[in-house]
Amino acid sequence: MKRLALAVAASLAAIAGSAPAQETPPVSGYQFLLPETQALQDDDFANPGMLWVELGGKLWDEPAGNGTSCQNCHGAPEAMRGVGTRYPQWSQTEGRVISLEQQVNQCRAERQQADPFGYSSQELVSLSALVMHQSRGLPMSVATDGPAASAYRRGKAYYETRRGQLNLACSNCHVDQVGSRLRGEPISQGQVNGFPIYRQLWQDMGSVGRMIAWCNDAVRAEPLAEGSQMAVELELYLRSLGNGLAIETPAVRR
Amino acid sequence: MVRYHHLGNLWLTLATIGSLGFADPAAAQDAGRGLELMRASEKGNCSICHLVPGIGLPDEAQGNIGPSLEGVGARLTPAELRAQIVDARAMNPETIMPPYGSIKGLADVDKRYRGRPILTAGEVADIVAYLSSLR
Ligand code: HEC
Ligand code: HEC
Ligand code: HEC
Repeated sequence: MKRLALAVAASLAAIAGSAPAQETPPVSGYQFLLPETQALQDDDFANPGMLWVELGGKLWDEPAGNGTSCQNCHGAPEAMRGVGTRYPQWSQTEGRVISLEQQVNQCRAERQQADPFGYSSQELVSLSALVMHQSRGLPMSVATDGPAASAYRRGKAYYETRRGQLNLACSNCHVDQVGSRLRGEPISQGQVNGFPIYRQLWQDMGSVGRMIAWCNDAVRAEPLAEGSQMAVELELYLRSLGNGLAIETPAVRR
Repeated sequence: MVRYHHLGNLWLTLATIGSLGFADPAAAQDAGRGLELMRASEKGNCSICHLVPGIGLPDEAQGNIGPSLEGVGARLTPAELRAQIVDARAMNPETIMPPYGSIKGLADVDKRYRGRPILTAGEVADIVAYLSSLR
């Protein structure tokens, strides 16, 4: 634990040193992991999340609905490099901020004339992981101004509001208690630069929406349905907190 | 994991037997039950934030968000302990400690838990009995 605290303090100091007078520099959840979990994430052959990326690759090439595949219109998945850095993003056609998962489903429904995937389905999380993976190493850079500004404000308000029978806001843990231990678990900033993540606790891959639902359940608050507008706007806020952090998808977390 | 639970149960059994014989009647009879309530994740779950002596978990598997409860019975009176558990906001409006005996001002509570506090008055009394024994 001491080593972990030191590592986090060191990375905070390193970031603080390079970026002048930023109040809380973003730190990836990676920095809070045990070395063996970091090693698992770093090795593409051992990282369980790569299985979902591979499944996403298969789905990418598979014709659906009207017989078109993602590949037919978009080319190789590599063409998606950079796309994942921008989501959730304002959609002109929808008139609201949408998540990457919703963008994929939009293509599926409107361009492939196929049934959209369930928000927490293995298919959708795999395609999302595939697209995000293409941006690995690139800095997250979601827009919080212009038409996205009101969604950003609502996301921020949600993040800072106490809720549930335990009366806790996201910020009570992920801002005020960073580095403390909740039970045996060090509390990180709750950054989402690694999502979708392979979470060892779940033995499964999950989207940001699933993580929000998990943390909501922990404080015994009303669940925020995955893919609901509030959850997407909260995701926008979470991503904005990590603007500048390198995308790690697929990250491995405890 | 499983191992710790066994340890915890053993400890609990001993504590319960102990409290039958030696408990101070004024401090209620159920210090053993109090400890059990502090451990239960559906109830107190206190060790996610505090080091709780006797809970049967290694130190590094307990939280350090709040102060260690070692010797807390010597620091605080039963009335102070009770007030802290029932609604810590009365002592510190910005506290992160959940209000275990109050539903005042709660928002967005999941319907499984709505309309009632985490602990009943009797359960709080049991926990106070256990904490008072920590000296
Ligand atoms: C028939 C052609 C077509 C198919 C098939 C198709 N898309 Fe698209 N897709 C588009 C077009 C055109 C756009 C850009 C216009 C828009 O935003 O609607 C787009 C946009 C996107 C974007 C957002 C890109 C950005 O820069 O923001 C993603 C991500 C995406 N598609 C993923 C997929 C995936 C995954 C599939 C397969 C499940 C798929 N698409 C299938 C035509 C298609
Ligand atoms: C009681 C404290 C607590 C509260 C309140 C809380 N979380 Fe968490 N959260 C945790 C813990 C513990 C973890 C797992 C360890 C870690 O990464 O911090 C976690 C993990 C996360 C992660 C994953 C981070 C990563 O690197 O993969 C995200 C995202 C997150 N939380 C978001 C939220 C959001 C959004 C809220 C509010 C709806 C919230 N949390 C409320 C304790 C909390
Ligand atoms: C989410 C974290 C959290 C949980 C869960 C929690 N506490 Fe606390 N507790 C705190 C903090 C933080 C303080 C320090 C005072 C403050 O900040 O309000 C505290 C203070 C206390 C104190 C005063 C200690 C002293 O030395 O002054 C007692 C007693 C206490 N808690 C008992 C409990 C009991 C019993 C439970 C379970 C039924 C519990 N706490 C659950 C966070 C927590």
